[in-house]
Amino acid sequence: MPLPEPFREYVENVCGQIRWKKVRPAVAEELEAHLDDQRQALMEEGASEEDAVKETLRQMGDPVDVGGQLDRVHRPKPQRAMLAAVGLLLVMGFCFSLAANLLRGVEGNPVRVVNAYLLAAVLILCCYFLDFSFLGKIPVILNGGFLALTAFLFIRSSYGPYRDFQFGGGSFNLAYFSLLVPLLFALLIYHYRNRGYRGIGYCVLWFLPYLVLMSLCPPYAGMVTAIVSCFLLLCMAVWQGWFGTERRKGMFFSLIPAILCAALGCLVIFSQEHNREQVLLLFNPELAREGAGYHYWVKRELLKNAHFIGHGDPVDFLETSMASTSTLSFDWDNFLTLFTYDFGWIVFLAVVAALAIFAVLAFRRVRKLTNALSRVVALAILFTLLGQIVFYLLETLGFGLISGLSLPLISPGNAALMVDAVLVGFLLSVFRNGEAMQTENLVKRATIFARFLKKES
Amino acid sequence: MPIDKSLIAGSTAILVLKLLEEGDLYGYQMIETLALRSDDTFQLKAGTLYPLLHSLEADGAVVSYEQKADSERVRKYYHLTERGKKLLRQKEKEWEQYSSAVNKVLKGGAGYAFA
Repeated sequence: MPLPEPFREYVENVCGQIRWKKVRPAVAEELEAHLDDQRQALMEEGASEEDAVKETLRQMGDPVDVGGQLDRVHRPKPQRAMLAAVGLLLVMGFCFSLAANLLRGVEGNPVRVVNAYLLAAVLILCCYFLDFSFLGKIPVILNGGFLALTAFLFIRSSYGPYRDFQFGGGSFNLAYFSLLVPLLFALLIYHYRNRGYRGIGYCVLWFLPYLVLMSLCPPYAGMVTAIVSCFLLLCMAVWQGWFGTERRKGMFFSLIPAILCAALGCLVIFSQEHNREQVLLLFNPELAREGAGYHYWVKRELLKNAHFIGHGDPVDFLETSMASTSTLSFDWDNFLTLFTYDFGWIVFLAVVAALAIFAVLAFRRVRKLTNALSRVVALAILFTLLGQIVFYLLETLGFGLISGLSLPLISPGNAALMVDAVLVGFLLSVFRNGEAMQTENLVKRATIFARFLKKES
Repeated sequence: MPIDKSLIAGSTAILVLKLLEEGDLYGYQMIETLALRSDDTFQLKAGTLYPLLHSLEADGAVVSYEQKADSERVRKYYHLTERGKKLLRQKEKEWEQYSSAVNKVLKGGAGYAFA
């Protein structure tokens, strides 16, 4: 039954008072449902339709007043604490870059360092103010386009130890593309939700070309993070009933491909002799101090001799070269180990504390998100960042199972910095705008979702 | 006897939270239930209820989800969270303290009047 014109006008008047346009559709839908309920109840009591409409509007109250009150409630949530945490990470990264440049003589123009961090800050702010929900409207285009672009760059890339795409005098390691895979996969989960087992199947099928591309682009920390993140998200979505499947059966159809993909990933990683050696040397790199365990053994020796504050003690076996610690050549894969040795554990703890503050603030916000797209996008980004952090810190401490990629926003390197800046920017956008999203996506599985919320709360 | 609106305004949140403690409800259901339970004493206006519900949701005291009522209509249900339960307990305590103080003054006031 169509809504009477006076009701439409009333709702338009209320919504006209709400300045944050994104919340208007959700408010309008709720008010329209209420008006309709009220009118029907009055008609059931014997009122004519005209009287019922008039009485309903009288009971609603002044639309300008109601809209004004709703306007005060619905405002974008400025993410000051999160922005401060992100700013802290960027400042740390910037300082480390300059320190490497000035103290260790790492090649690089300080102006370029400044520009890179400024560009990263601009990217974060652009994505922060952007409405992230457009991602959920074009998931297939985004995934198809991304796959085509990656495949094209892969064909044009040069194969050394890594797959690098050369452009404008610089190069871009294609492994960093793997950091975007969980986000893109999250959009597919959102797109294929409510499509039953077929939906789960489509998600798995989309993941396969990503797996192939990632397996061809070492280092593999990104691939491992992507496999774990994507299937964790898929299982969570199935468990919460997004696909409308029977829970256990759905989990079975998600876990089987997850295990197969993980097995395939392991096969790719451990088919390389270097990686097999790393597993054997994980806890005892000194067993191969002249070979594969050398870097990790040196890192552990440096950290063993590091102080809480100040330069570490000389290391016996490195006596001739300790003055500059040049035995372990400076590299952004080991900058944190070297700075910890040079300036003390306080540097390491400061980095870990800054990352922990960021992660805790982000998880607290994710818990409050009830919208499906907001939640799945935020979790995908957080898993990606956490994966990077874990692999990097393990490597810093001398546990080098798989080479890490970078430390989000802290390690310099244009590719990693820009990709992470985009991810962090979208994460902040979710926290800023997530509340405004309509919850239509939860309609079909509302009962299951309600049950989930009850358990959670 | 109609009750002064300002008296109701201060207690709307506690009434809504209490209703939601018993189960998930949508806006219209809350108004109806409240009127029924209070013998029409509390006739909450939708224009008061929805800003309040949205504000409670922004504070994390309630969460909402949508459910199809029939082929056309979708209803937005509200669910009380743990935070909402704590808020309710706190408001109940405040209310007890406030009402007991008002009663004391009212009873004491009568005594003074005759003194």
